Amino acid sequence: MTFIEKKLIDRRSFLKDIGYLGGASLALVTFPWLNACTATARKETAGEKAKLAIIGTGSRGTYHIGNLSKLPNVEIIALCDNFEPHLKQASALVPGAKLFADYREVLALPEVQGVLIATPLDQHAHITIDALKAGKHTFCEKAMALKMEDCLAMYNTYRESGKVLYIGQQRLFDPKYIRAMEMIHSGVIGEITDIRSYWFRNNDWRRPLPDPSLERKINWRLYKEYSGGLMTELASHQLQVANWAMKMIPESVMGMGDIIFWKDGREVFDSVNLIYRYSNGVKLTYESNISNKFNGLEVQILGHKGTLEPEKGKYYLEDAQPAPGIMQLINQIEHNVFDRIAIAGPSWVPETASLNKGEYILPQNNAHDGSSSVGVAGDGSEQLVEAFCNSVITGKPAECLVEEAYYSSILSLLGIQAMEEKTLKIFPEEYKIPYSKFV
Amino acid sequence: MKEIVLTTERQKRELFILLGCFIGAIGLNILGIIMYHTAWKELYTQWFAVLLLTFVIYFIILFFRLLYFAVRPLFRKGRTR
Repeated sequence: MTFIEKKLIDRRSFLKDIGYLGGASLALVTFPWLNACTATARKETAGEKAKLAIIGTGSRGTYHIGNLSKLPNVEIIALCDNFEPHLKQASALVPGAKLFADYREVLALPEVQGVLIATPLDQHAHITIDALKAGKHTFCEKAMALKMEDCLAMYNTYRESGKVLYIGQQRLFDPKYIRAMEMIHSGVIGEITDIRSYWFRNNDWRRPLPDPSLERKINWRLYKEYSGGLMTELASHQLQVANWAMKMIPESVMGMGDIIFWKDGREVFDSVNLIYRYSNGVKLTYESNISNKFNGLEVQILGHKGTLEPEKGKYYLEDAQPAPGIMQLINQIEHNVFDRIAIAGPSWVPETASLNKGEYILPQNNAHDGSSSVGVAGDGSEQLVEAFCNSVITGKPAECLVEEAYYSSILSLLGIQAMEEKTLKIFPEEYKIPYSKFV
Repeated sequence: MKEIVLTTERQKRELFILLGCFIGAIGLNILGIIMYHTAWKELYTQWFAVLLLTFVIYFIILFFRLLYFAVRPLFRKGRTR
């Protein structure tokens, strides 16, 4: 390990450097969306409040309300959901907010500066487009949309509107991911040669039903009309991370998906295996399964000098620091004295997995097992909504965030197409958007 | 009870032996650095291991010295007979 690499790893002032505690650094140039949650941004918005409406007050919507309620610069003035129990549940958290069942009424409120959309996936596109056209700054949960053309329409409307658009890719704000990307891009793990990504859970992904007639409304994630299943709900996060590491998008994808365990009438796959191929030959393998949680979730980034696991917040160098010479010498003497003399050794040693325990990316680690369907503390979600509130007040967009989210959404949808059509899918030229950070 | 008297000469001898062990341990540290191509800064970063090794060598030597002193009278007796 070179001196510079060591210095990069040892730098304890990372959080300060990325601006959570103040100050500016190279990280803000490399990851420009972070400018929206620096101390400077906080100063700029001090004393002001972003007036928000929450559209979609289910589990993810209420999770965001919880995070927003910790911020001083936001006021939730309206809540909207067409499912009464969810709306009531949210109104208990925000007692003074006006309640609506139709999002168009919310968009008609002049006092609403921004909207946060946490509805089922099939409703993301039209609500986002309407909100931007109505002059509202908009936060929309990932993935962007259920169809590629809708993702593009959302992106084009965002560019034309001049308003702020955020997509819920919280890993862009997760300190351990940011640090991991700094390490990858500075060459700590060498040249990336492979990416292994997976998300495993062991649950049926169902929510309790107050009435069987509400099956499709509550369990919308299980039906193709509303959801892309594992690809849009989970893989879209990890595809974003892989592209972020690679600084490019895959050119093709092939894969297979099946319903192998939860044969309960659902339409989306409960098991998917895909291979995305980048133009330099690097493959991103993606595996997701919700009937075994042994492996949890991870995006393993493999370089010729090391491996990085951002979700665990750890890295593993191929050539680990050797023991001091004196220890090796004593060890050697000990072996010579006490070991039995080998008469004939094996010509091949099984190449079992490395026992390298690795090092933590950050001194304070906030890893989790990925079983939560809603969100976990310290995963960047709080910074993401804080950045959005700052952007609503200043009117400044979070640079590059939409582009990162756009490509991960398109790639998750392309993966679904590859599995359903059982063919190799090439990234469609018509869905490429200008983005300087991807080569 | 018999009193054990450590004469100045004996103390000096033990200190010389300990010094010899210390020099030997430093020598092993240098040998380890050369053999395993590790950093020369281990000359001072591994001071604790060197110190530990000094005492280990000293006690190994002490064990053999005590063994020698224990068996020496037997040989002397045999010779006088």
